[in-house]
Amino acid sequence: MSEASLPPEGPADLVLQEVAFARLADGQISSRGTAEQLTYRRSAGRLLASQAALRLPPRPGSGLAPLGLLYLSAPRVEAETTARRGEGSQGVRLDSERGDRARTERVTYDGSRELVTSDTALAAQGPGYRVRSRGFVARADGSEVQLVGGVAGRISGGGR
Amino acid sequence: MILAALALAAAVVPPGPLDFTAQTLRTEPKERRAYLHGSVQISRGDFVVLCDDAVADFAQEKPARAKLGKGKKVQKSSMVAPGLLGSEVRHFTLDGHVRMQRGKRIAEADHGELDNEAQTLVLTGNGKEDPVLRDGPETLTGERILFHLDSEDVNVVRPRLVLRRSVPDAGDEKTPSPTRVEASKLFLDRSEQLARFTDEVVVRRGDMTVRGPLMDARYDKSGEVTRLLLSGGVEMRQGDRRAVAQKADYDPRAKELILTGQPRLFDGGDALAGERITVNLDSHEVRVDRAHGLLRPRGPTAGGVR
Repeated sequence: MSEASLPPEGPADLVLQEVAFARLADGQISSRGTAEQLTYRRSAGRLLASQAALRLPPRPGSGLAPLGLLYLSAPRVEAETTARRGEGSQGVRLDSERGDRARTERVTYDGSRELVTSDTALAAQGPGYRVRSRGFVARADGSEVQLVGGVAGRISGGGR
Repeated sequence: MILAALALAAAVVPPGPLDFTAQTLRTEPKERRAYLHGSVQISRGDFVVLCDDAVADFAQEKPARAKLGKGKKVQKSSMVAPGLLGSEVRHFTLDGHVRMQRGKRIAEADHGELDNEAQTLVLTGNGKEDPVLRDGPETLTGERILFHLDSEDVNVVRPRLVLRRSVPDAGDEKTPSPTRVEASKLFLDRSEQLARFTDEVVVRRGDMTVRGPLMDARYDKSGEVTRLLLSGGVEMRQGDRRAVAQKADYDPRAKELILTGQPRLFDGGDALAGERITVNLDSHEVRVDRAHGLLRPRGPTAGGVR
């Protein structure tokens, strides 16, 4: 989400400091998060968070389920709630309960297409593997992940 | 050189993680597959495979204990199943310009199957071109080449080998043609230090053809083939000349074929048997030790001589 594509900044409708939030789905808490500061502009449906962190249980049976709980954080998060789009930047980190770690400068989420993408260098590692690429495109449910722009890594090879 | 290099020089590829590079990597957890595309390289130690595309099949999930970073708490009994990349790759399917390199050995093929559980790499062709194995100047081709990564053994189906020692140098008129070996199967056995060709073994050099069911190739420390030992019933043909024996010993350096084990020679109307028959491949001279048989002198009135 580049600056050029954003509407002109208006006054914030809401500014929250030291935020903790929870997302409810079907009466259950589906995710929890914190942010140092959260700014919301209602008319534009625009949300800006700093030092945001999200604790996300993956949907059972999804491609991400094997990773266990996911911990996602970024120093800066911008979101357009009406368009269901968001961008984490300035160093996005993903850690999993299993021990996976992924780092990249910027990640974009497109809710209408259920896609997560990055055009910045990615470094990820976990039990038995490590991988680097120049970017990635992934389905939000983890059912497909494509590392692009040149990939290098190490995976468990087994053997007798 | 190639036989010795295959059987002696190669190091065992240890089991363990595989390094890889590619243009793209696409994982599909439900299929338990990852697709590597574009300038793919897979390596472990000195073993390197290059190809256009590769498909990695991952082993089925095994429950594993959760692992957390600092400050994150989890119940000790918590178990999570490993994700796709955390699983072991069971098998790679390799396609397009497959090239394997291990030490000095290079193999090229159109298709490959790398089995991590069996620790084997099988190279096959595309129906038009067979896989090729090169080591220095030596070239071995076959319909199917199987490398055992945890040993130094190699199996080749329908191998075709040209012995470099027999190939004439530029301007060397004394060595008219190379020695070529074909068979249904080849097994390069490190422990025995031999290359064993089996089933429909054919050795050709110039106008000579030797056939038999089994042949062991022996080589010296420099890797040059020193002996081709055929056994199990051998037939030699050279022009109109034909010889049969239980065994044949071919020395590429001496360019001599020695037939033993009830050897018999049939040449024109002549039929000779002896203890040993030696054929010089360049001069075509035949020597029969302790000969007995029938010589039929050429000419309209000639009769047989015993």
